[in-house]
Amino acid sequence: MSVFSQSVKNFPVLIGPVPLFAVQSMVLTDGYKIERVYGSKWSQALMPTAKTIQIEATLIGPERLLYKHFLEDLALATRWAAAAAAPLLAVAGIPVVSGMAVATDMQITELKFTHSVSKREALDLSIQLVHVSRSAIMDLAGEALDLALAIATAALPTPGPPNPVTRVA
Amino acid sequence: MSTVADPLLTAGLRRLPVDADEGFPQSFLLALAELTYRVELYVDVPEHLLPPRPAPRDAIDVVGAAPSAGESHDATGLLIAAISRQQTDGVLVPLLRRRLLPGLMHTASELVLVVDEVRIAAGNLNGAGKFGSVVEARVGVR
Repeated sequence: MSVFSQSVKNFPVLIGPVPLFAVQSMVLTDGYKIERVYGSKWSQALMPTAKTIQIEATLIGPERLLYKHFLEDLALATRWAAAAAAPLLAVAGIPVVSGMAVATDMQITELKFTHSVSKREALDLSIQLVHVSRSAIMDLAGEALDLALAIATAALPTPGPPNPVTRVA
Repeated sequence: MSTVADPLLTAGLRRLPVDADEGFPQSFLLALAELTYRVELYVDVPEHLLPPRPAPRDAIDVVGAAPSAGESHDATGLLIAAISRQQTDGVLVPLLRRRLLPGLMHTASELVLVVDEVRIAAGNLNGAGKFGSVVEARVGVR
């Protein structure tokens, strides 16, 4: 076997139990809502705005319709799924695990599947998730995981680019 | 995988061309058996363990000593090597990221790395110069 056939391991973005292997972009939005007090120079910080995640991905392979179905189940897109999963979702949301951030207690607000002539045997997926807080404990766990990811990433130092002259062993 | 170096398995390896006088972090391209590898070496020392104003020739202990070796002491820092294979399309395939300790043999994919001697001088942390740093290691392809 040629060494070139060994490809880089592809870590998926996890939406709950559903892995997305071909994520094209991921946008994380969060912040704090600031309101100006009318007629005064003061502003008041009201509350954190809800964290939202927007993911553009492509579902590929023969299992793409299964993944579509799993995501629809997670989004409670059907009445039957909502009835079955609602008790569970009342205590825990959907965790989103990626190389950029770990977010717990997310909820899918929009799912868009595009089947077009430009991509055969693939579905373009656009998914939007919003953070719905369940309990302070889960929030803290999510923040701790996110911080651990950030620290672990920062702890791997990157030496400068190598000298272009190759050394021979 | 890391094991104790076995002279039977490490015969025929070639010297890893580290220029310790270039200082750490250090990264270079390595041509070996028709393939190109990217070798990165860096030293991690907790700031509170570093002497306040070390002389350039002061040794930074990155090895330590086990209790079995008589007088045991902890290492001040770590010397880490990260090796990846550079493919023809420019993609880097990470092979290993390991602490270098003398007498250990690391195997990763097709690569074998044996560490023979490690000495780091304080002057070679983020600096170049002949301060007595030595990194002797051997590489080969299985």
